[in-house]
Amino acid sequence: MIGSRFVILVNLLIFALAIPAMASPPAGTADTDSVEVTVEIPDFLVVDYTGGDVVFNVTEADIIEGSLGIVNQGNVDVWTNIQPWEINVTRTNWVQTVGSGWPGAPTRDIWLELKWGPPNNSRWYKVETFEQDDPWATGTSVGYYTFLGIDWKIKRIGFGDALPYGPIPPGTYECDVTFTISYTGN
Amino acid sequence: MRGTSVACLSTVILLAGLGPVVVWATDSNEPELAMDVPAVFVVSLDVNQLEYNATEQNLVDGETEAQTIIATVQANSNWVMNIYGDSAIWTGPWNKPVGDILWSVDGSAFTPLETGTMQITSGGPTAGNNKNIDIKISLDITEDLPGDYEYENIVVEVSAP
Repeated sequence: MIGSRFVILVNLLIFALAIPAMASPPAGTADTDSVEVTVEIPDFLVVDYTGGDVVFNVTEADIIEGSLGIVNQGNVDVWTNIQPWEINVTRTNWVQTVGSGWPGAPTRDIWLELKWGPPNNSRWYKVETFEQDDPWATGTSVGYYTFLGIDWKIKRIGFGDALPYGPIPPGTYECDVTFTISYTGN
Repeated sequence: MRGTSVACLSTVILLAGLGPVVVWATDSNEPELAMDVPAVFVVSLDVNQLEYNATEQNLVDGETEAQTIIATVQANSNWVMNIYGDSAIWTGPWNKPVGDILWSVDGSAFTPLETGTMQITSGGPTAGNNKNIDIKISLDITEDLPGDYEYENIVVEVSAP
C-alpha cells in the first residue's frame, strides 16, 4: 500500500511538471479603443434646377404673333427634411446682351411664364422680378421630389405689346431665373 | 498486490523516460529560469470623437464626407482587427440605426457598421502597424429630422485570430 501511494504521488508530480511544458502560450487579452460620433443635421431645404440654359429662337411669325412656342426643358429637384414648404420663382430684369436700341426693363417687360410639367399642373405662373405671395409650388411632406419637365413660355414681344416704347429691336435678351424654397411653418 | 505491481511498473517506466528532468537525478548549480510570455495586443485610435456637420450637398449625396481615424496596432503574435458598434441605435431626434455608420479600411468599399464584430483586417507581430479607417454617415432625407445625433461607440478591437 505504501508503494501504491508513492506511485500515485510520483505520477501527480510528473503530470504537474509536464502540463506547463506542453501547454501553448497564454492567448492574451483582446484590446479595444473606441470613438464617439456626433452628427449635426440642420434644416434642409434644397431646390435645384437641372437642364441648362433655356434658349428661345425667335422667328418672324413669333414677332407678329407676339409670343413664342413653349420650350419644355429641365427639371426642378427638391430635398427637404422639414415641411411645409413652398417654392417661389423670380427673375432679374431683362438685359440686351447683343444689339442696341433697347430701352430696357423693367419699364417695358417681356413676359416669362413657366409651369411644372403636365399632367401634374396646368397653371402658368408669371415670373416677376419680385417674390409673389402666390408660390409656384408647395409641399407638405419631407423627402425628395422632382418637378419634371418644366415648360417655359415667352409672351409680349409683338409689335403691339411694347407700347409706348415701340417694338422690341433685334438682339439677344437675357435674364436669370431663380428658384427659392422656403419653410412656411411656424 | 496486482494493483501495486502495475503501479510500480508504470512508475519505473515514467521515471526511466523522464529521468533527466527529475531534479534529484542531477547535480547542478545552474538555476532553471522559466518565463511565460503572453500574447499581447494593443490598439489605439488617434481620435476618440468624430464630428460631422451635414451640409446641403451631403443631403443631396445621401451621405457625409468621410473622416479618417488611424488605428495603431502593437502585437507580439498574429492578430485580427474587428469593428463593431456598442448600440443598435443613435440617440437623437429618431432612432437612427447603427448601419447608417459606414466604414472602410485602407480604401476598401464602405460597409455598414453592425453591433456584431466584423473583421477589418489582420496582421502579424508588429511594433506599430497603422490602419486607416474611413468613417462616413449615411443620410436619409425622409428620416433624418433636423437635430443633433450622437452615437457611442464605434469600437475597434484587436485580438488573437
